[in-house]
Amino acid sequence: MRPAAWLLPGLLAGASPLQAQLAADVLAGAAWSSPLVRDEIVAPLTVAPQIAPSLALGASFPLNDRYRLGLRVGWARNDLVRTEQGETTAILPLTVWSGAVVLERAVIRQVAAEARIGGLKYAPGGDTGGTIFDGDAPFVPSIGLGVRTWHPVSDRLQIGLHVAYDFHRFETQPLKSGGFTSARSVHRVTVSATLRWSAKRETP
Amino acid sequence: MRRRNLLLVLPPLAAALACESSQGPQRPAPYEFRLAGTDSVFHWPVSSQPVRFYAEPVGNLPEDLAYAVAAWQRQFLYGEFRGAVVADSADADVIVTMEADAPPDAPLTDDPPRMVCEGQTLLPPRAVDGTGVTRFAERLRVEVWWFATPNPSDITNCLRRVTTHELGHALGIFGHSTDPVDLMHPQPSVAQPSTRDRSTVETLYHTEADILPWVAAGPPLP
Repeated sequence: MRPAAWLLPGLLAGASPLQAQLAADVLAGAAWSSPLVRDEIVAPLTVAPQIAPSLALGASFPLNDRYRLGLRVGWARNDLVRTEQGETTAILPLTVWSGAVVLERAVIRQVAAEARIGGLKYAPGGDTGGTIFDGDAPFVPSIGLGVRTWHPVSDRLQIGLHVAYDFHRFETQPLKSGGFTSARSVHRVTVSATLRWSAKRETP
Repeated sequence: MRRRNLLLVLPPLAAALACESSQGPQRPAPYEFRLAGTDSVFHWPVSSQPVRFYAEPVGNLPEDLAYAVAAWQRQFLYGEFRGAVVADSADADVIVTMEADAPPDAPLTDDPPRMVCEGQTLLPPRAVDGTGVTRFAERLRVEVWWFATPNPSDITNCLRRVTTHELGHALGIFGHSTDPVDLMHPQPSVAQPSTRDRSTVETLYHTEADILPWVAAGPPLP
């Protein structure tokens, strides 16, 4: 049984038992990331993406009364900045794509917790020369947790709030060439407003 | 059921806490980059970037310049320096010229380095502009030249090394290394910045500069 293989035909096909159980999510919010690099040359410095507007789309179906399984892809974009001695300097625009398999479980009424496993793709923009991304746009595996609350606005629509945490390890070839010997732990938190459309009314 | 929830939460949390962040790398001590006889520091500020370089179209000079700009830019990680090669000297911040006839057309080789060429970076006079800032009064100029030798590839190899060395000066490294493995040794035997060259130029670009570059549209200089 491959859930991903179930989802796509269900989305594309006409009315079917599977489609009747599908839900589609839109998440819009903001993503914060801990520094990708900490270094000290003359003074301590950090390199991190600025808080970025984020957007995600997802689809899921129920496994049983409590669990749902789904896929989610996300996007966030803002400047990568260097902060040193209180001064912040933009380095380049940075897009972060994310994709994950999501296992969601209803916890209490109108609250669900989720666990995710997937990956992030860093896609720097502009001239990457002389930066931590010089010719390298890494894909990194990630794991995460999240909480979603919702409020039904109709038989099929829910609005809600979603808070997600992701963890991954970050390194690039230029960092290795620059003497960094190990990857750095990076934490991301995304807070989003959510809209869920269900093919049939949710009764969690 | 609650234990199962806990099992869901614990692995990522444990992984996050266990993986302690790496700190910056150990770097060799930089050599002197300040202007000789002074404590003055020059580097290109972010507002002046990309720094525009022009090479006189003689022999391999444009290719050597492009190589040198890329080689130095690769030493940075945090966007401190960006360079670009321009086709018109009027648009340039740094002009590189060949102070000799066109060198013989010979390929780059791995032959042992021979010093059959030389170069110099001409620092313009400094002046205080109308806002009290010390600036170079003109563009920076780099000159290279070569000497006749039986093996023309020695000249090609030497001009590549010396152009890259001189560009290190144009970036603001006004001193020299005493270690022959460094590109900024007075007689460079390598064409790539070493770990110590990298450490030096990184330190330079994270040190506050008290000399700013010439700007075409800047305040009038006395």
